[in-house]
Amino acid sequence: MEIGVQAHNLRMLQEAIKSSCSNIRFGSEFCMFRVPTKDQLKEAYLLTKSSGKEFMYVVPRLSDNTLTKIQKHLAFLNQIGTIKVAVNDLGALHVLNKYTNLQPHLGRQLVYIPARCPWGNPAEFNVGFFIKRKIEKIFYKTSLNFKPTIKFFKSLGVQGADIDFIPQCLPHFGFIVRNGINLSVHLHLIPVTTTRKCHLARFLGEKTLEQCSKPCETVAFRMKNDELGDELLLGGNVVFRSMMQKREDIRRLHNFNVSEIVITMNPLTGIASHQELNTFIKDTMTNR
Amino acid sequence: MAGNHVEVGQKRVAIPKLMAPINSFRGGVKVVDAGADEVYCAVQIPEIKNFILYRGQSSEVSNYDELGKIVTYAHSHGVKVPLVVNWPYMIDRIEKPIKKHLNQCVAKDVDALIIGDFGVLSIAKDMNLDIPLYASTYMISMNSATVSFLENLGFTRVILERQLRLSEISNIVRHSNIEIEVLIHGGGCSNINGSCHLYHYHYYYNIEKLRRAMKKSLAGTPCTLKFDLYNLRAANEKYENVPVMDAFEYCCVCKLPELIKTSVNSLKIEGRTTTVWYQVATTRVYRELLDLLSKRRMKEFNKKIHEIKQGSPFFFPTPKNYWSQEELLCSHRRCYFGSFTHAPYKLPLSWQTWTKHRFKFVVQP
Repeated sequence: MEIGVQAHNLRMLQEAIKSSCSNIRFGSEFCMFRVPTKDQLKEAYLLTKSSGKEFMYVVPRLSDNTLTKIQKHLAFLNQIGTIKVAVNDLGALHVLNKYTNLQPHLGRQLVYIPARCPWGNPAEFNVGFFIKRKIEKIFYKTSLNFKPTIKFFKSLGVQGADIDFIPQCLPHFGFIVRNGINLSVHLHLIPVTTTRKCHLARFLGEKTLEQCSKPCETVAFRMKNDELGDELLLGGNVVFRSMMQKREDIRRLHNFNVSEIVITMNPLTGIASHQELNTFIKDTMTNR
Repeated sequence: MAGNHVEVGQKRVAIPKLMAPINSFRGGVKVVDAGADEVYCAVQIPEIKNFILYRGQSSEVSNYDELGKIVTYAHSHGVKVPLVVNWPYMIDRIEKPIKKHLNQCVAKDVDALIIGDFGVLSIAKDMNLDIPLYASTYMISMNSATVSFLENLGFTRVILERQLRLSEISNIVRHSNIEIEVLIHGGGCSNINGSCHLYHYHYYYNIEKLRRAMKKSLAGTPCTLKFDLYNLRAANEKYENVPVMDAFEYCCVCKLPELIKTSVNSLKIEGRTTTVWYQVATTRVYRELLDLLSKRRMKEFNKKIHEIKQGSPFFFPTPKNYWSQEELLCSHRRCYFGSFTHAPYKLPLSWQTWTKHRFKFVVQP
């Protein structure tokens, strides 16, 4: 099982390179206003390549304007050689077909998982025992737990997919892997909901999203509502819930033939330096 | 009134169709009479009726016979009935019920299927259903490439994500060969619908006990809640009661002329879970405004908009014990196509914090 690090900017990428991870993901996973420039992408690729680590470009949901920009990035990457691109947008997935050297990888936003909901599962409703069991079996599956869906994505050249670490969903990962999709599992943060009209930027008084000063690179908030009881996390345009992994859960990932675990560097995970990354990776590997 | 045209500059633009929500035959009749060009609904799937994600059973027509009655009535008035099958994901266990469901609904002569998942799409294609397919907002179409992708898959209409700007909608319409639909009124989602897991039904269920214990009513949806925010990087930085997800009921009455200019084909009102009164009221208001625009009676249109903004009770009679008109339309004096910074809360940041965030390159080492 390989260890990948998601880095949103060059500073994070340089830290990730110094760490003991094997793969580096560069780009914005959720925000179209944080897409890097072509020069930054070029530098990120060269730095990663010279360190001997594998490079993956990450693309968020896109508007027409940002997609035009991304297409230039894809054309550049296509010239270099075979590179994986994690896409979170159907338009980007469609466009990727033009580039023969680029391998599409489904981002988390193209895989639907009902269990991302922060309020438990519907089996807690007032229904009978057998119905509860039936509901639970449906609730913890993902959109990739259906052969025709996998076949559809494979017909588009997809070989891998990102997925969240939700312990109850783990038994269903095996099906996906057996059907030829390599799984990359994101640790720590489960995206509960995303927006384009960034909640954090609005709260911090940004005037326009196009000229956003990107406070999400340094600031994140814990959201607490006494009536609701659940704690959520606000990181840029995404509301997450936190899921800390137990040792045995990480071990189980290995049993389900998961190809990669992904660690995100951001203010929410608190991982910002190579030392912190190495400590985390060491702990994870020890757990195995 | 669909099929009418208006001149926009040198271009002749069709007045978009008005698509309204229904959840019962009674509502269907009234909404059709109120002037909808299309009515959309979902039907309860008996085998999985207990598995609920976003909306409860109140959003669905209760059985296939009722659907049949709705379709018959609508067709007799020249109104189409697209059926919502936008199940957000598909797995083996629900494949059979969905197939049976699709067969039953198509047999009732619905006019299109609104689909939100590739698994459901593959089932519909396998069944060789001779019926137009519409791509739901769950497909999260935010650019022309997505629309083109969905067109290649056989969809004849795409419902765009709510968070697009008018210029972006216009651009997508210009580059597409299929029908484009936009949401114009309702729900108040501040997040991208297709990737939102704040299931309202679960939320209601989980807070129901709490609601009873506290003997008070809680906020309508989770995204309207006020949160205490704690900065993870500064222990003593806390902001209280911030409606940070900023959900609000939205309307587009005053943006109708601009929306028509984009050449979208259909305007959709949300509200399958709401009351028949709401479904009828919104349909009637938008119908009246679209008719005024199609007849180029701009003076009257502007007068109506002014009345709506003033919350005039004469424009549409509001039943007692229900929302006032002011709450129904233009309730927050905020438009969904407006700037994202028009938040209902004042910035809670001290000037030191604001400066720190704004000029972080100066403050940080």
